[in-house]
Amino acid sequence: MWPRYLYYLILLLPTVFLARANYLSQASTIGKGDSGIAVFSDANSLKNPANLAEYGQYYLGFEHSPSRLFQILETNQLASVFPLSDRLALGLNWNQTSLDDDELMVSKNLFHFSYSYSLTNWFSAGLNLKYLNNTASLDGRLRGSEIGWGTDVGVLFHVRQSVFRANLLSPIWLRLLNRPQRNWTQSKINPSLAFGFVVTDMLDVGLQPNSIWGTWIRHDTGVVEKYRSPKLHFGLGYQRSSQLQFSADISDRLNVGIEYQPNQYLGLRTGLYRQLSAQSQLRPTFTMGVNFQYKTFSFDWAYLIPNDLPPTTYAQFSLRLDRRTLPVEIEQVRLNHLYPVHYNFYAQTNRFASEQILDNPNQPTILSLADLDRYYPMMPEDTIGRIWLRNESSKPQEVRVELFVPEFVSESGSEVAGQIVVPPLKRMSIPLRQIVLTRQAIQMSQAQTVEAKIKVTEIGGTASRLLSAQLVLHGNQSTRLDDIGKLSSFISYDDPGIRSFIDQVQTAFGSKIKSNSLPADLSMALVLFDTLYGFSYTKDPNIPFESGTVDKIIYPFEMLERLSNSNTYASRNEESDVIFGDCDDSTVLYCTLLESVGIKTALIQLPNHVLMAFQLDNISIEIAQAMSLPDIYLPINGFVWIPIETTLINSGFVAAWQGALNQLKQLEVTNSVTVGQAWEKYGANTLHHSEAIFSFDFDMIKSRIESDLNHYLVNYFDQNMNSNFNSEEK
Amino acid sequence: MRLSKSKLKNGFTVFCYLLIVMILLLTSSSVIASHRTLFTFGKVEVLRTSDPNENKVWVFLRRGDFVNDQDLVRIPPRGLLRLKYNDQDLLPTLPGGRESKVIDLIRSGFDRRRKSRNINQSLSGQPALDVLPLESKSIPSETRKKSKYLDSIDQGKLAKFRQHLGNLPIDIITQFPSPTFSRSTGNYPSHNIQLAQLLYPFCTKVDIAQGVHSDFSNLGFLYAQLLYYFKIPTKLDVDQSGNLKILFDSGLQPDEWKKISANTSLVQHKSPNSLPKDRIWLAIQFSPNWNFTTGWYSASQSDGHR
Repeated sequence: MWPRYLYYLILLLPTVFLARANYLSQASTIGKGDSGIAVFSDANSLKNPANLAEYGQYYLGFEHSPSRLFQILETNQLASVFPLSDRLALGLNWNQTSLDDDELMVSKNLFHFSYSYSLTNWFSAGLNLKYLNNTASLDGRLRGSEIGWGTDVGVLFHVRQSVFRANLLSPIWLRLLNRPQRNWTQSKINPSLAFGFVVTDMLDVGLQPNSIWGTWIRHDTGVVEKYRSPKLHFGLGYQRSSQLQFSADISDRLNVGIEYQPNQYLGLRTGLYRQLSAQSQLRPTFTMGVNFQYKTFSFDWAYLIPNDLPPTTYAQFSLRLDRRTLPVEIEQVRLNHLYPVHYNFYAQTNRFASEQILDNPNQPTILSLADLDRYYPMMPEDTIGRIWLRNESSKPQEVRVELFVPEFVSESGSEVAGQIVVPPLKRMSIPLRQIVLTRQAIQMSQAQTVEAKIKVTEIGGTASRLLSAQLVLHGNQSTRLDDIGKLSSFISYDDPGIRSFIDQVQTAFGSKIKSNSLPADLSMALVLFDTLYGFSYTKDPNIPFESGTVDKIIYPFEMLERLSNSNTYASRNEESDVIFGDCDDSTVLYCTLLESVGIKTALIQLPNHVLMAFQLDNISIEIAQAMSLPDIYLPINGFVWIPIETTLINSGFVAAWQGALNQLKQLEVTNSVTVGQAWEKYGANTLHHSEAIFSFDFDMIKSRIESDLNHYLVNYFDQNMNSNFNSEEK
Repeated sequence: MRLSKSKLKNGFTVFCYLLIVMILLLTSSSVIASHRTLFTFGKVEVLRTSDPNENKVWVFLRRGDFVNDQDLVRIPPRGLLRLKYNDQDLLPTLPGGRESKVIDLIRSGFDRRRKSRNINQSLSGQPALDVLPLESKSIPSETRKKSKYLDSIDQGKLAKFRQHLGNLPIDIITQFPSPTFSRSTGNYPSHNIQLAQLLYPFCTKVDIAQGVHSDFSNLGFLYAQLLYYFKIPTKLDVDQSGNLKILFDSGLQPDEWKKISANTSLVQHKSPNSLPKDRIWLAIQFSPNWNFTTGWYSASQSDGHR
């Protein structure tokens, strides 16, 4: 009799273990508490066959349990996915669990043939056809076998990001916060929600004529018995961002898991599950896992800590091959001329430009430049450029756009537009929102036309499209001066070359600065201005370009070097060149000098002209009124600022002050900004120069300083110094 | 010692009340929108209506200051103000020459942004045009011109105006609706100034102007007559250019000047010695294409942004 009992024992033992281990899962799922009915981009058809249609890639994975399943059983798994179209995918999965020692051998094989179809953009359905084959042998003699057939049916509902954002979330929080709706598409990393239902072991496929429900097996003895009854599972998936997702399944047990992907190479998982039956008082089973990805290769590791069995390790190696062509075609790319001196501006995300879904579904024919402007118009808000994409598939495609310009952006490219959802069968124009330029681009002194490669890549996949375009990069002295704040990109505050000039001025004329009782900022500004004697005003060699003007700005250090050389020649009684500068050149120069000594400056735009002003210590308007100061200052931000017409360098500080006041009385100020605020947008100049020795016309400068110090305009501050003068603490 | 159940229950009730009060306080404080001042050009002033102090005074607005929806802001005619709505959204630069509630400024800022949506915006939110077009420096001789409606008047005409100040024709009076004060501006520090502000735009309407021009040929005089008609002590004078200057009693005493403006040039001016010294008299010039604020600045010693 004992062989019969042994035979049943042999068959029973693996079944008990296998039931506990839920051995069907893959390592990627086990790490998340074995929850996977409604997860995003999963190749695991065992949990829910409807998942495969959303996966969209070829997949081949091999899994093994190095620690043996509960330190007893061998387990191997081969899984594959074959996407036949963007809606249809097939899967094949083989799972083997065996017990193999010298005498006893038990083997359990399970094959899944999966069919998955995405009916709509938010609904997929799938079917698993299962074939089961168990054998047991003792001392090499077959003791028994069984086969069985069964089916699983699953559905998956995916509330996509755009729907979730546009219809559910935005109006509510916008109403709550009483904020106007932005016209640009905000970050696409918005929550996504998925939920699914699976009925496992639903239908019999012919083994039991009297019942259609459940999975039935037939023993080699001819006995047919129900192997498993139908069971309903419900799953929920929530993707907080592209980095974080939660999943939970519920049937007769609860599975909860979380996955965090700090970057594209690494994923961390953890979770737990426990039986929900009232009899079960055991602690939950804890799981954890890690995932490493490199290009198409992926390695998953999971560690399972059951409540009443030894821990088990799972290891899975998989290969993902995306042989599909990205169904998003690049129709057109248009790139603006870039001025690398504004690198900080380009690196910030342009939030004003908006994406547009085009009404015309057909790609227009471009015969002329006018056609290009007509069908592919650039928006005024576009700072870098715009790309036109067409989604040829019937599913929304989530893509990102990268720009590759050898040497001038990072080798790995610069993401110029991220997480773009192109609606199915639609054309869309997308602004290129940001670009990070390399130091090499910033140091470029001449304009250069370079080849830029634009790559559109599927998010979560590797399918991509590539297109080349020409990009014009201007030299670092050029800008298109359509905003007064752009001048700040030429103004530095920590250039060692400029600092050396200031140090030499302080050494040479420090006595003049200290000997008077003026506010420190006024003394310093006066002396620095007068040391610039020698510059002459000229019109700028503007370069006509399109509808605007490309302006060339001479860097302050270069201006100072020219001035120094001129002084050197003059001291030798040799003929020297006249140093020319435009109003923007001289404004940039003087602002740089003052910002380098910590004096705040502002740019003031008049019609076709630029002035500057500097803040006079921290004298508030209230104090200025108490001092009965006449209208010799500008009130900016509640404080007293002194306006300066920098093109009057040769006339002296006071003359430049008066010149600015006269212009301000006559002309409208069309715009104004402090350099500090402009730096926040355009960034300060970071092109530094080495220290240098400068020569000065000492006698001339001293006489100019003395003349200015004795002027009544300056004395307004001197006379009041000891009585009413009380600047606020900085 | 054991606590009775009723004490526990009372404690729990008090806790719940406190919790509700805290939530209400937090909610109400978050509802009051605060907008950050990013940039002011000129003597921009604010009258904080949310200030619990009854002696509300105007103060200069500084960068970084927060203003609330109901605060009153006065921007000089050539001043600029840049606000960050709810400390989040940068609004276009608001031009000067107005006195209005912050909420109205914000509305006009959003309007301005919407209208200039298709135009590239500079850092200040203004439409981006080339700052220095092809010809770099060509400064116009004078772009700031006096209104064409400011006609010089001689002493004889001034005397005639003074004589007829109280003779406002009844057919003109009937054209003016009775000025109404809104509840939100009911706490304006000076009733006379508020009334003068309300009357100013009535005189800018063309149909009224046509009826007046033939007889009096000066809308400023009509404005002065209206002030006088509404019981505001009013005097007439001319400035150095010979333009009519209307002086009216603010209703406030000299030591209350900060209730009128933080800007001394708006409240201190060369006025005739005949005016009573126990009141602050304000000077204003009238032009149909100005508003009250611009007319006030124009008559003061200020040059536009100060």
